[in-house]
Amino acid sequence: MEEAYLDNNATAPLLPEVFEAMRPYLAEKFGNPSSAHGRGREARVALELARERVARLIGASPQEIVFTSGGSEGDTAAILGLVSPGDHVITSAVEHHAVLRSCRRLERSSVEVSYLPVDAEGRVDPGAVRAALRPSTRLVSVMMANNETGVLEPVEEIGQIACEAGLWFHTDAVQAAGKVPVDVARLRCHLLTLSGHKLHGPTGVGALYLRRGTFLRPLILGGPQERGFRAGTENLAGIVGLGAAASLAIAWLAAGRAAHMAALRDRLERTVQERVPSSRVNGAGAARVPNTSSFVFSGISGKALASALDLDGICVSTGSACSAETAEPPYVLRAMGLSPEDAYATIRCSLGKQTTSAEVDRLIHHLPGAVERLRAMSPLWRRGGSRQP
Amino acid sequence: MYSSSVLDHFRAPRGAGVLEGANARGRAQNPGCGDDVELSLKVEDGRVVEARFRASGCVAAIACASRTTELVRGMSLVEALAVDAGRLSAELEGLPPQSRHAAKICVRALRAALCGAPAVPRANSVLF
Repeated sequence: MEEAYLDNNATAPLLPEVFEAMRPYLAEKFGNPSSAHGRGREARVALELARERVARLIGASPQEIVFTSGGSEGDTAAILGLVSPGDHVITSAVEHHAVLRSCRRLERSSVEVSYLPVDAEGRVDPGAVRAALRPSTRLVSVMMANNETGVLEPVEEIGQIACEAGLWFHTDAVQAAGKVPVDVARLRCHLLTLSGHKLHGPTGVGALYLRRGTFLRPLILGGPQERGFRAGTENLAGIVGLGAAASLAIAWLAAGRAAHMAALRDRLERTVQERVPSSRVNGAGAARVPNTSSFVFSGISGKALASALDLDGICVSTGSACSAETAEPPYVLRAMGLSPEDAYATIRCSLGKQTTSAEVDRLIHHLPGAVERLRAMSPLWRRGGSRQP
Repeated sequence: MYSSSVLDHFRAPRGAGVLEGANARGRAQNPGCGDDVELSLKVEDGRVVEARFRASGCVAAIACASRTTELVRGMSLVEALAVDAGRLSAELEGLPPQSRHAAKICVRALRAALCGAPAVPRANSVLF
């Protein structure tokens, strides 16, 4: 069965060029970058080249890049490593769990946290950041692009506010990097999180941008790797892969491919909304990354729809990872004001650099029938085209 | 991860829809995951003679609701009340641990329907 992989926000497949770049470091180039001998020097050169490439993707200096195990580590290290008891942190209600759960932990250590709401399009109001400032505020953490909706937050304005107030500003750019230009100077951020596998690099590797002069208590203690900010022998093959993925992302953006991706995404959204009644796109009125469509199909369960599409070889995801009685409600969509029913009626389609028009067509072909079948048996759907009250 | 039986019921649900002339209805929802199952039954002389479901939820919720309609058809009210989540799961060749809530919600909907089913005349009761 032909497959359509439209879940690149979950993980974007390793590009062949990235795999080829990594291959020697999984086999014959096995050195430890900290070793003083030839094998070690060979590894060190590869490590520093990757650092330069990652730095270039976000307009940073190589010395400002700390390699990590991925986005969750980067977020956790940034949030837990900067503030102290008595401090105040400002973040948003729609951040990744890595940020939110780190903030929850801080709250148990006498740190106060303000979780800013978002509007119906999923955007944080920069004015709300300014209004939330207190004398004890130390850190502002607002994501660049939301993982569920692709909505771009006004991080430049928020960075300006944080800069004027003399605060640290962290942004989770995991879902933005490689899809839209990211420039740490424009963002005025002190910390920025990246993940390898969201930009067609390997899993298990990421990077944290740490502006020169920013002190961070390390999350992982041990040797002097990564200038002491992140101990542990480097995941060299992964880091080389991240560097290769960063270079490819730079070239992809420079070639204007993001506009092509946005056109494909727009065609998907337009056609689906034409063919499926009572469907809409979350965050459609906001600026978004070019690859993400969060669809609401009123009256059905997104989980059932994702499963039905899976049986047709189409990989999408629900708006949230809900699978059990204890699962959390889809908090991003609820924060945008969606009813519980509509939040559960959401699926996310996310394109990648390898996504073809044919894959999008496959989704467009199967989606209307799948939605219709599920609506026909749903107690939430009223015949004639509307959701039951 | 789903059994072939679960996938079969999801692909081709049995008894989907609203039962015309139903005299017992039950609905159960799980706000924690959004699953929503409604069963409508026709009960005559203390026996389920027809059953239909409507469901919005995961694969397992739809499969459990579908299997429930097959299972309870022809059962006495006592027999139908004895259907529990374990039985339903077994009927579907087992459910993955993270999907067992689907059987529970169907059982809740079934019991809600059975509680509202018409009482059986004492003389020909199959209940007692």
